[in-house]
Amino acid sequence: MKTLFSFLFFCCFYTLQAQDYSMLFLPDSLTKKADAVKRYEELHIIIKSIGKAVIKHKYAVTILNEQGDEYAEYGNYYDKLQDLSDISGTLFDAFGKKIKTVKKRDIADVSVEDGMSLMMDDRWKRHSFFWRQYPYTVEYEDEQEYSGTFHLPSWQPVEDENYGVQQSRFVVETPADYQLHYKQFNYPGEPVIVKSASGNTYTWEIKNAPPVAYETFHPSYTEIFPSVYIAPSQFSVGGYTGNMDSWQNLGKFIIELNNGKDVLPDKTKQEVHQLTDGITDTKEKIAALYKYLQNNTRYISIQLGIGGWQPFDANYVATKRYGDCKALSNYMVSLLKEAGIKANYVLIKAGSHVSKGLWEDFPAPYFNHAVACVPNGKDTIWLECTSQTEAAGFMGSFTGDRKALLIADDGGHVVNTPSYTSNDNLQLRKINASIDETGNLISDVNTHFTGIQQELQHSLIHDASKEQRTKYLNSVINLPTYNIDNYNYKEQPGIIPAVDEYLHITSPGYATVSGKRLFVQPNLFNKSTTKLSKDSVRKYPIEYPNAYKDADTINITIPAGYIPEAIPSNTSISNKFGTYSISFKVTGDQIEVLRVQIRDKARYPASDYADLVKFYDDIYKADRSRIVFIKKEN
Amino acid sequence: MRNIRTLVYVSTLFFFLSATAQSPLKYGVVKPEDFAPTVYSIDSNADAVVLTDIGSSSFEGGVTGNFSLVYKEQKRMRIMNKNGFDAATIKIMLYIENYANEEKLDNFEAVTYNLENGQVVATKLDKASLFKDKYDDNHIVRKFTFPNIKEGSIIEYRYTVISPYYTHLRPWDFQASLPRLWSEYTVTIPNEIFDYVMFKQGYHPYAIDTSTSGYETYNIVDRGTSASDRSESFSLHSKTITARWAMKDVPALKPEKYITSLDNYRARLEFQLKRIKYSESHIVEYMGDWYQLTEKLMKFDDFGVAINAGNGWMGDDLKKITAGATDDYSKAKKVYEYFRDNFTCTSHEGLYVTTTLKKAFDSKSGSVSDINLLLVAALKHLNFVAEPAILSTRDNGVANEMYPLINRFNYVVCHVQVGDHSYLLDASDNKMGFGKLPEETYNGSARVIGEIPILITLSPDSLKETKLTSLFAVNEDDTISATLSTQYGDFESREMREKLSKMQPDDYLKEVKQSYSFDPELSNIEIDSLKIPEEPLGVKYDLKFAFSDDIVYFNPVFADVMKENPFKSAERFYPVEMPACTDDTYLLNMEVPKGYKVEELPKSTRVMLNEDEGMFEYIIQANADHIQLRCRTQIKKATFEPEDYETLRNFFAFIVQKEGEQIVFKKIK
Repeated sequence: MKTLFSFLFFCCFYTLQAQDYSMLFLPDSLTKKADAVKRYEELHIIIKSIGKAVIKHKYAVTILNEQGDEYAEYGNYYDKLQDLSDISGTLFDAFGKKIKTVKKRDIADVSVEDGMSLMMDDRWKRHSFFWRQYPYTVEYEDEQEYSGTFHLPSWQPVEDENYGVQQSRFVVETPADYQLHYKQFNYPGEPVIVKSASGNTYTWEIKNAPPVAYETFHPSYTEIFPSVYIAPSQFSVGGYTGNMDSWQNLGKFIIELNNGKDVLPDKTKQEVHQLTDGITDTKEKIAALYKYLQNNTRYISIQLGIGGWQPFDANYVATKRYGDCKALSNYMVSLLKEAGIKANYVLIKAGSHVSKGLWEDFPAPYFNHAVACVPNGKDTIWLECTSQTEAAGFMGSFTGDRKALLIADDGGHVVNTPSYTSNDNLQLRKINASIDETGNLISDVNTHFTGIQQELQHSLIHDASKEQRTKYLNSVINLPTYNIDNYNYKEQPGIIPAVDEYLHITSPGYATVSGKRLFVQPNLFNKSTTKLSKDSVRKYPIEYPNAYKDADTINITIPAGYIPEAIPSNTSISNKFGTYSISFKVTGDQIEVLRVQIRDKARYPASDYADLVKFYDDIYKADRSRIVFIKKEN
Repeated sequence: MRNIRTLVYVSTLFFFLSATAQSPLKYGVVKPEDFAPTVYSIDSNADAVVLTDIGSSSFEGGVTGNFSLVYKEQKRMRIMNKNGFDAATIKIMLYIENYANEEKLDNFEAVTYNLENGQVVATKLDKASLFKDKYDDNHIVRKFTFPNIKEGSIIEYRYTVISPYYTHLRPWDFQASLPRLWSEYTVTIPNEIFDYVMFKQGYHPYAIDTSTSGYETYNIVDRGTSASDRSESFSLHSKTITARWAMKDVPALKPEKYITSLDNYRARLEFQLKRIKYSESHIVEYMGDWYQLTEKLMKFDDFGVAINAGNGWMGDDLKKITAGATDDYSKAKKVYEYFRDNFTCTSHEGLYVTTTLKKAFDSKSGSVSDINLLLVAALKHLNFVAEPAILSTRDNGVANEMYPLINRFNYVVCHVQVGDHSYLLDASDNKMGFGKLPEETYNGSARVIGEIPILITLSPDSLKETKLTSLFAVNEDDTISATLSTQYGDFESREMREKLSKMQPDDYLKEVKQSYSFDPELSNIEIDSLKIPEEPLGVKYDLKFAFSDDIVYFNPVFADVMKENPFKSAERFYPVEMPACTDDTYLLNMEVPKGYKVEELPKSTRVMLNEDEGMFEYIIQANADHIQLRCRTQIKKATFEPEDYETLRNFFAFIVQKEGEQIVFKKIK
């Protein structure tokens, strides 16, 4: 009883104080190095039943400068299952005095064009006061009604770097018999839970969170900012019901959505048999069918119905020859099934720089992509079904190295997608070049790329037109003036795919001829560009997300009649941050340079930062070393 | 050089040029041999090729009391490879003013053709896969993607749009991002009623350019606006003219850097309505001359009426804003600064007031037209001679100086007379100085909408970006201390102000430090005229670096140097259009470090660009104690023709190379 009383008191107190957005109430610990400060927020989720929830959101943000303007904009999505109503907004000046309020008709209603989808159910509403007298405060309030509770909002009060939070609260109300799952990050303590016969209330709150500054190689923001994710136990959506108590149960729901969608038309079935009946090796069968998928379908995103969770069926893909990731993955699984190969539909959070989504102890649908997979222990074959060019088995930076949900007959199972080491991600380069009397460079550059390091070349081959490719190649290299007049690519598909690239590069005036001297920077193309700022205090651990190995062998012929005046010393560094070495040798008119750099996925404590700065400074300098030649006196 | 930039032929409909040529393909007829070409000679790199694109526009009687325009298009494409699949997704935009008068899509069909075992197999798009979406308040978009697409597929679609907007005869692009084997447009106009002016632009020749005449009766029904209104119908008779244009083997239009707008070079036909003559006594003028346009705009609620309304409501505010101003110039400047500093520009396009001036004033935001028309209104209220001036920005393409075609213009600024001087003002950009315009507006000319609609030249050739960097270096023990100061030109000053509004000077200094190829210590940054947009911005800081090796190779142009040739691409199809002429000077004055002697000095040199279109000089001299360098780059015009491109590229390559040369210092033993 005591808890309840103080909780209510607490609540009223804040509601009153929160209305005053004067700068007087904003401590400088929150404004220092901040672009915006959230003054007040309440995200209130009322779960009415397993199929219905109401989300009330009210927040106020003080914008301190031009860079903070983006946080002053209101925007929210809605679709057939998520209604959006009751939007209101108010603008306040620095003294907390109300300047204006927004009327409903000022709120723009826009179709969501995500740049890839042909058709989506989603629309969104947005608004901005376009104010420019800093500081100012905007307050917005909206209400959404969810028909279906499959996917519930999460609470992430700190929206970005340089963003302070004065106070933010997350309240979830449920029916008395409702079981709520939650997972919290960087939240000290536990939520305040009040249970009564009429229902349960969970409350999280943070106060006075100072802004966080950007740091290079920072860990994922999930590890830095406070957040709370919630998920239902029982839920219903679009006429389907399910349970999310375990990954297995969540998988069962997906099975229900996909149920009966694997029926192929007879013509396709015959084609499957024609292709595979003569093959005995399963791997070859998979390769043949994957090729069939790639040759006969393309990726067109159509996000309609049940929040975009239900795939179009196999027959739809077979006749139209297009589909989104769900439809194509489901189709691939169906093709394999027809050939007698057991394959699975897999849900995944894709993307190379986003939070990778799945926490094993917290079943919830944080997915944005689907793939197919033929499980077989360590010989498991992964298939990205939206690509017409990817090699079978390669997941790369888009879907590799993360946990995903495999949908088996008995429900969902958490699995790991392949991860790639520095030996998988190679860039091995051999350069033969010559420099003439006026400093012009002519070079033959042969490079072998593998794994994640071949992704760019792969898309240069397949996603760019010849013109775009030529244009790209002629703009990307860090030389003052150059021309690539000839190039070619050769692909070697495989679980770790490889690309061999040949470039013929000429660069007028690459070497500087100045009087009797010739200046050559012999490390032609692979120069580290990382320069870290040393005068800041590192707060968070250092994270290397990618592993790679680069090796360059460079041979340059210079004009006759020169002798070296200054040859840079060799550098070799091997420490916890990686391995780097570069050596220079001059024999007659020949320069030979060997450069090797290896980095593995790793994490280091913040206290290592000063050493990291030095590591990168040393590489930066060594990569730009010059050899100076002087003309022989006759 | 303007003659190429504005390669727009203007003619009143229509002249005869007889030729016989046929659209090579018939709709719906696809034969196995159509799949034979594996590459089309027009563009062997194309991912998809338009085989035919045939359109027509004609007038019909309507049921809404006036004419309707009927637009038909049929298009056949070949998908060459997987990169070309994107061409199979089509969007058709329909205009729907407030959902009242809709353009209607009719007779739509789309078919994919594939060659399977020597047979042509057709797959039709089903109705459910033609999606409809609200695009914005005035448009809906219909979109679809062709089914059953493979490499080599032929896709074909056709549709009709029936439009109540009879004053807007659709233009035709003969050229776009895909190459076209055949592109054809036919227009039938009742030329005794409608008088359209046609604009032709581009470099590609016509294969067909003919016209024939006829006679037509148009039945127009007016059902009235309510159910009780009596329906009226009447007939109009007119001679007609049918004009047909076609182009063969039109290459794709490809983007390049340093170009105002690719649209200026596109092969295209456009139409502008001059007048409608319903009868001898009922003539509606649509175009007129500049005087008539000005008059019309002045009567327009969202333009002239708004600025001429007296706008007494702003009197009190203007009094406060101009308080303390003693002369007209400072008064005008205060008003300008008030709008510039306190208003947010929400759209950098527009000619008219989007809400009301009062609302825009209260909300402190609006489009470029809201803000600058407010500025005009405010200055008028204070009895200045202030008028709007309209123009077309660089990315919007060239606006015709002769014809008063209002829809070619997309930007409005304020023209004000203060004493003997007139100024052009743009308050929509908060980093602009009084009397200065952003570089986007330098696209030929602006037209003042006032008593006399004068033309004001805004030529990039008339602008000069002048930048001066100077460096003074002195010795200390084993180190060199220097002070570097830079004064930027107008456009670069603007960029710097934008940048420095988002970062602290010390953070900017950190960024500068990262741009050095060696590791100097930087300190004491000072920024001059940061808040005075009329003045060039200055940046000054100190630097210090070690100088102790036996031999030191020292690049004297180490700060603010051109490290890359701005013209990377080896080929050029269209003119290079830079925003201004440039004049960059770099001065170095340094002591020869104690204990060292100059072993080798780069050679002084001077080169000209095409005799007098540009100049680069590198003048260096040294004695025992001092080294002096002056390095200057001048480009004296802003536009260069494609044939001058290689010269221009080599000129910059030479500069980059020369600015990389070294002084060699040797320790005296």
